[in-house]
Amino acid sequence: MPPKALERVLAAVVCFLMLAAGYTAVVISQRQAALQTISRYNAAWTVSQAVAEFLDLERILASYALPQGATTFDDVQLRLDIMFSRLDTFQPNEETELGKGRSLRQFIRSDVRNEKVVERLRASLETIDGLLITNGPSFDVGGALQTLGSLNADMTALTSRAAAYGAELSEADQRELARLHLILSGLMSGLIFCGILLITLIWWQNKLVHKAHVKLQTTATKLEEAHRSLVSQNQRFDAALNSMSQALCTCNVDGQLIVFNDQFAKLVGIAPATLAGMDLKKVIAAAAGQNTPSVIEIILQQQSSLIQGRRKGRFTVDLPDGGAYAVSHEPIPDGGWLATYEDVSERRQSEARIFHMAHHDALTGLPNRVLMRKKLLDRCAEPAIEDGCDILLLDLDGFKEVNDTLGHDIGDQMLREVAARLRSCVAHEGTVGRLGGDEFAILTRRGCTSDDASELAESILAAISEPFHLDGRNVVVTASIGIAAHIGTSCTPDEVFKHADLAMYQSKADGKGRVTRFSQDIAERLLAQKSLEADLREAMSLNHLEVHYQSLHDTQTRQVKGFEALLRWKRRGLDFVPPPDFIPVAEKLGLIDEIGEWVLRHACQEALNWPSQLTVAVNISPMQVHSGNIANRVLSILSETGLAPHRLELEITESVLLEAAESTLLTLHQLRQLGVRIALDDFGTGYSSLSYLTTFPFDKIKIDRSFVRNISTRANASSVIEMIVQLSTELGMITTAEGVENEEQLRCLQIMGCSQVQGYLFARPQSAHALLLQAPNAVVARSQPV
Amino acid sequence: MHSLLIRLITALAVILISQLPLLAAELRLPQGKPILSISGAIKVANSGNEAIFDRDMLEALGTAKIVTKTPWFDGVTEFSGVRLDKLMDLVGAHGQTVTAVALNNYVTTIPIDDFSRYQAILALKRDGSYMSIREKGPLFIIYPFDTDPALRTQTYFGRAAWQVAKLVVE
Repeated sequence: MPPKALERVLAAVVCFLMLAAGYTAVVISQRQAALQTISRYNAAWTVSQAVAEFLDLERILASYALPQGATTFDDVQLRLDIMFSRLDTFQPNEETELGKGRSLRQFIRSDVRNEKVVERLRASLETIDGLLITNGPSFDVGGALQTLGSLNADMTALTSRAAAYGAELSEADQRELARLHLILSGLMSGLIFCGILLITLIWWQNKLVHKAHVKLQTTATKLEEAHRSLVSQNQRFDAALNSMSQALCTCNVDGQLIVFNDQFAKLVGIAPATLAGMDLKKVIAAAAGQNTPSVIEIILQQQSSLIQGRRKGRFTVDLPDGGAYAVSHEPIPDGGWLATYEDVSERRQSEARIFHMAHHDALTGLPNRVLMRKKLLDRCAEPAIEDGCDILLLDLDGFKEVNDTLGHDIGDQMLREVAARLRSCVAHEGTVGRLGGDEFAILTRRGCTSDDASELAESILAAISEPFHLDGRNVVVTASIGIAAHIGTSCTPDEVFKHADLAMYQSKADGKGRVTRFSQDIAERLLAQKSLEADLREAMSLNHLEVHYQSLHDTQTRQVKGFEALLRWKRRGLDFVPPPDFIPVAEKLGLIDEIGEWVLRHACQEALNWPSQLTVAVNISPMQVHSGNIANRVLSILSETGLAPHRLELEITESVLLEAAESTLLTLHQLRQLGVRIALDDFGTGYSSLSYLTTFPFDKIKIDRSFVRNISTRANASSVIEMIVQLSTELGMITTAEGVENEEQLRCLQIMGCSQVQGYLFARPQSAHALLLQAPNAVVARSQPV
Repeated sequence: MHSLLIRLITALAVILISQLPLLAAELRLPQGKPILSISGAIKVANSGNEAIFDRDMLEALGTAKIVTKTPWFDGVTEFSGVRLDKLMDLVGAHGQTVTAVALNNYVTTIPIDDFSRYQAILALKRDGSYMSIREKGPLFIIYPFDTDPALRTQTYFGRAAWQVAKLVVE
């Protein structure tokens, strides 16, 4: 039961008790009043009194009748008066207010007999009174006695009836009392019941109160626990906040500080106790320095747009003193915001260092390729000016030699010196950067014209051509310069660089130490190169590559000894492209392995159609050798085709040995062990170091056509050939002269003792198909001297 | 000294005069028909141990009126008679109760305090006429029933005796 309802029940019980008590009091008092107001039981008494008075009158009359009686006439008169007086009280007609309900009159009225008795008594008394008045003391006493005597029985009966009437009344009253008692008992029971109910209710309420108390206590305990946990959580929260490296603060929507940590207090330079609940404006005012704005003021200025816009954001504030703060701002749902401030001064500085390192060359301190490219990118975003110039690309000529001969330290020293000269030369005309190695770039100032650039380039060339004093000696180098500009909006920095690069290579190709401006020619060449590359890529799949064969003949007998396989590319199926034009492209495109293998397979297969004494020679590019798995390739192709290894001759150039590593020599030895013969091609051109001949036991030396061409006209050429032939003979190598075009040349070679010859004198390279059209015999026959 | 003596004598004279009724406890005998005798614990008597009164003697004490309703007569009735407390003083009553005895031998005992508390009277007249024996006279003890509900009970109705002839102080 809820306490409220209980209270109501209690109040109702109390009210009921009060009403019951009141009612009881009223009932009792009414009863008391009824009992006290009137004489209820005096009827019998009054009647008996009347009877006594009646008998007294009789007695007096009797005594008066006696002759010597002491009774006087006055006595008789008195008794009669008394009787009359009594008679009045029986008078049923009279009704007095106070006598209402008086028992005597009710009694008289209750029975006709009583009224008759009273009537007869009155008549008798009046008769006697008449006698007394008429006759005086000598009245007829006997008659009077007789008159009264007839009433004796009636009077006694009246007394009896009065007694019975009294008893009846008493009984009625007793009944009334019993009823009252019953009511009282009921009331008492009610009271007792109510009392018990009250006690129960009070007990129940006590229980409820106790329960509520216990509940309250439990709640209080829980509250206390919650409070304790809250306190400890707060402490942890505080500890966590204060152990943060960042300064943190939370403000409400009015800009009042709600939460902040020690770092924040340190940042603003105000004691935490003072800071608590402070308005941000006041914080700024309190933190304000003497002259300069405080750190927090600068930060909050930048943060204000985020605060007002209720946006999330991160930014870094750079302070005038070089310090920096990273700010992370985030609005919170209640309208306020939370922000962290991290001192990132060190990080900022190291970032700057890293940025510098990433954008500058360590050796010279000049901007590197990345930065130069960035700057160029910015320049490209600007509109191009007519006949303008943006970039100069400079490459030292012969730096590699300086490095190789004088060492890297000297090389580095030289690069530093070059950088210094460039810097002083360019000054305000542009920005100097080092792109890598001995390659430098100058981004010209804005608005630089082509003429300005040429002038600058010339002055640079002059500055570079001055001797460098390195390690006690004078070193002279030159530089090749390419100039390029961005044209229109389609030009990207990479393209500008490429253009400059192309122009620079043009300078080198044109004889070094000069300046070339990128032109449409160069661009066209570039385009041609591109299309060549594209065509070459397609050549394999379109079957535009062919292998042609040129015969090798014995110098003395002119007998065919074998064929050299020569790759022919019929570009777009139309024109043959000379190998020197596309082999470097194939190498650059990484197609050389595939092409080389294809040529090798074709040649080996083709050789199987020939007489078994004929050899087939295949050119191997340096890249194929360096890729390392040429030996396996050759082996697998030999086993595939079934060509005897000794019939295969692999021709390599000197450049293979130029970067002769252990692995390269190993590969060559492996091939030779297979039985394959190795020939050194184009001997006499390039570096032509005789030491190469001792590096590897070649089977054959092929003398370059440039020597053969001049064999009959220039003495030094024939001497070289003679020397090579002699040397080869001594080393047990076969010699082959290339490009023999006439009998004169053949004769000279015959005299010199050259083993084999090759050239248009005997046969042009022809396709396998053309070769096969002739019978093998015919091949041999054709090779017979005419 | 002289004047002091005169003052003393004067004071004594005043005291004596004020005590005169007590000292002159002489009650003359009734000239007419005696209607009341007071006996018992009284100091003043005129006939042996009793004090006997006729109507004149009683009326000589001075009369008082009580106008009240009663159980015995219709409506409001005016009674006049002697104040019972004065009567008791006159006879030097020194008891607690007074027993009234009526001609018809009715007896009732009344605490003597009732007389002064309720100023009850010994009525001689009803509505200006002397009451005969037939009219519950010649003397009727009357309380002023209308003045106090406590008086309108059987106790006081019982004490209001009529045809009173004797009073015995005890």
